[in-house]
Amino acid sequence: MRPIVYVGLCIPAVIIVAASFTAGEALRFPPEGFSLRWYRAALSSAPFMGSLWTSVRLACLATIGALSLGLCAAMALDRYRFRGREVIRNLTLSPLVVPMVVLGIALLQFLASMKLNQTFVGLLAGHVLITVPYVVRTLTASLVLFDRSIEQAAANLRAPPWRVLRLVTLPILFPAIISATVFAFVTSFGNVTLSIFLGTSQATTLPVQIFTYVEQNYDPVLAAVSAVVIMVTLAMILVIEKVVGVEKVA
Amino acid sequence: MAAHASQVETAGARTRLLLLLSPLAAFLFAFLVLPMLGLLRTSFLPGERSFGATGFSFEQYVKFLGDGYYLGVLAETIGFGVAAAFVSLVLGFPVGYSLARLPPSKRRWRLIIVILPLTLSLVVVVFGWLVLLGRNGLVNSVLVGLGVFETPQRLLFNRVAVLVVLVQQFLPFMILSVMSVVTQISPALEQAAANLHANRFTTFRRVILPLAMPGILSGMTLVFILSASAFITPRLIGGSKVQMVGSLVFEQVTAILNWPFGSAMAFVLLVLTLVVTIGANAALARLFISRGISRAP
Amino acid sequence: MNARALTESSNVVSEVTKGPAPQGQAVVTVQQLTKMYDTFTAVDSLSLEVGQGELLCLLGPSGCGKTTTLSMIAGFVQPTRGAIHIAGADVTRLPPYKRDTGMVFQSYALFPHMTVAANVAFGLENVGVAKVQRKRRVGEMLDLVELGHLANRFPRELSGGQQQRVALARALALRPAVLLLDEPFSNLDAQLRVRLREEMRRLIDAVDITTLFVTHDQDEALVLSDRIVVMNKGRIEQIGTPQEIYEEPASRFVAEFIGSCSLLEGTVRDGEFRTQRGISVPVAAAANIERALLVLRPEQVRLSGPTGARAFDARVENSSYYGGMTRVRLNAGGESLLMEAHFAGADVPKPGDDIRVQISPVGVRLIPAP
Repeated sequence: MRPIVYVGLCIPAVIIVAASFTAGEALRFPPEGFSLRWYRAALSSAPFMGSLWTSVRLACLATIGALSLGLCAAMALDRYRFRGREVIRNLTLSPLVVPMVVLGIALLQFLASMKLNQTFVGLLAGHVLITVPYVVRTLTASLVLFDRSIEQAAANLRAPPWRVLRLVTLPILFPAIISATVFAFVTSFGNVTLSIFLGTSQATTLPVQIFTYVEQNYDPVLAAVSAVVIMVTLAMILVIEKVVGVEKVA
Repeated sequence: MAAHASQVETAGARTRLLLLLSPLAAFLFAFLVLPMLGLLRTSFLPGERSFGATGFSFEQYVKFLGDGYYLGVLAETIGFGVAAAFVSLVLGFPVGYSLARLPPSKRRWRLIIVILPLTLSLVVVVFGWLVLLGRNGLVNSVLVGLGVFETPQRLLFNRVAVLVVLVQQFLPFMILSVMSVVTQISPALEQAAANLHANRFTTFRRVILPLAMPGILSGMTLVFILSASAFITPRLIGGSKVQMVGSLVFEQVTAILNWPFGSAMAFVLLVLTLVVTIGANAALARLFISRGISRAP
Repeated sequence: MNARALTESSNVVSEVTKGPAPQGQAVVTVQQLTKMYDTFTAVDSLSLEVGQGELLCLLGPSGCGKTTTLSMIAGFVQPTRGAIHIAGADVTRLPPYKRDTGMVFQSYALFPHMTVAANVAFGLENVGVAKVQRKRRVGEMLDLVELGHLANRFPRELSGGQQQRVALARALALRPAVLLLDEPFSNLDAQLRVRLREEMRRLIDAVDITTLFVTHDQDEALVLSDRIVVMNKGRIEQIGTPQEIYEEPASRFVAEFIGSCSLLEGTVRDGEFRTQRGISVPVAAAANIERALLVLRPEQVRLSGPTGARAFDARVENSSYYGGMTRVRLNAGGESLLMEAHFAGADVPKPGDDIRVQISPVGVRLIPAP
């Protein structure tokens, strides 16, 4: 039974990639012929390219934001005991379990009341909100295993706190930081629901663009675009695998 | 030497802690706490518009919980959650277990296959299913080609399809949860059981299952919550035939523009997930105490 | 020596718990050092001195405060009260990176992302030693611990013993005033432990560095130290040379913690210690004592001939043959005694045997009954 599960897990992705190479006019599987015409069509489609650029920009900024907020918070949560520690930890990780539609509607109303709805800033805030939990969770997993005596050894060897951070702590945390970056990027890049609620017509993200198209009709351009998303995502996973090993992350 | 985490004893430490924590704390307050409070407030507004509205009323909740149709959708949503949780348990447990027992070299590629649906954009996954199950999709081509059916069948826009897609999306969470907990069950325990004349089934029932329960519970909770919250899947795969609370909320907010009602529905959904989470945590805590398991999966 | 401990009972506490350094200038001075966590006192008003070139050991069971004391000297834990001086300077309020100590951690704490050579060079870089001198010094230190050929390896590629030597080289590279060792052998297996113990003593003597080390292993303490500080519940029980600690324990705790012993309760009258059941041993005591405790090491229980004056009967409860000696647990009319002696082949006592033994008066010790 197990191989069926593995097949079932990757079947949608495989289908899309296969169908995207069709030479025919319609989306069917198995595809008719082999051609790159739909990739060319995707590349020359302004809405898709525009939304791709928006998605990349958004994901980069959200990742930077999430890393800054998340790295500091993860260190604080791991290394200090204080009242309210668990409350803050749960609050930080809550976007992982709060229904995305609920976050969407709540943020939309909040931003609207501040006249920030349908702005890039509002969308960015939403993306940071949903990526910070991944950053904090990934970093926390690594921090928990961090042998503090290594930092004490560095201090004992005459390194002041700033040097300890730069020469010892951060280099050792580097694989976790890379993981966190990739997770944040992938989460922001692929997000649909929140982006639908908070998005603007000028700045649509790629997944939202795909969603709008899918609702109406689908032709192979969509498959090509989706295939690009799949390949980007897969590439990022392989980056994690190389740097850290998929094990540690799961 | 010293403890891993330290009590905040000095003024210097307090400043450092504040500096590290306040950016995120402020951000969460502004973009999580306040919006949620706002949502709660809006759900208690009367009428159908929230801009400039005042007053306090239960009417939105009454409208939702008092109407057969909406209650039906809520029941279906819960039903989908429960069904997805159990199906993913049945499918996911063997996979998670085998992954835990495999040597690292064999594990790599399988894990990548498991993680891919997690990280891949939902809309792409759902689109893949649309292609798979559509009139010209793979399944229909195979069925017609094999002569099982004469014409392509309508496989989409029904409950089964929605369930299948939900399970495929969230199965990885179950697999990872099971894998994580089984990794902590030393193979020596299974060997000991065999040495004490337990067959495979008994070993599973009396050794593995109880010890894996925290992971099973976590996994099922997560799958339930994610499935019950779904919106893209029922909308695209279920069409107008299958409604879940998530898609109703979306409709209210974007099409019908009845924000108070939409907020109330959203809040009901939130309460549902909170109740399940808290219930699961309580059950997990009791499990840890009674089983003496020392680490959470 | 036995009598002194009892007749000067009012001085006993200060004599055994104050630790003046044996020769002149003290490198580390700790005064009234106290550490309290809420209501729990980890270290209670501890005072000691470590002399130049001395190897002082803090010995005690887990939770006795020895590691906390070491942490305070290194600067990782702030004392609640008290003062610490290193090489004459008051370092009590100084952060760890300003103290002239070199520390080897229980887990070695090698920087996993740096090579062996980079690990050893780390401290030298921090104090601004120039590259050329750094390289030379790193080479010297690695030669000292005989790991020159592994300079470019990473810690994960080394064995436990090799990692420990790198940690030592790294700590010594800066020529600190005092070397601090936190249970340095606890992560190694038994045979390695014995071998590395001897090597470490040799190294420390070669470099002639003042050393303070913490352990719960009394064999280690007896073998390695110049002086031992026995600690219990945050306080010092006794300070002395290994011989003093073993042969003249000041309290029941020290007697039971170091080596094996048997304890007999009884009275002292006219220079003779006598238990209720009639076991007697001559002791040098100035006065009569109502309640006294006699500490017996297993080697002081001897087989007696049939007509020994103070011989008594005992039944063998169990007997463990260690080759060079046999450890025998005896029951002498209700009193439990431990005996260690060499028995050849057929003479090894077996459970159930009745034998006649006596206690050799040389080396027995009276301690105040609690």
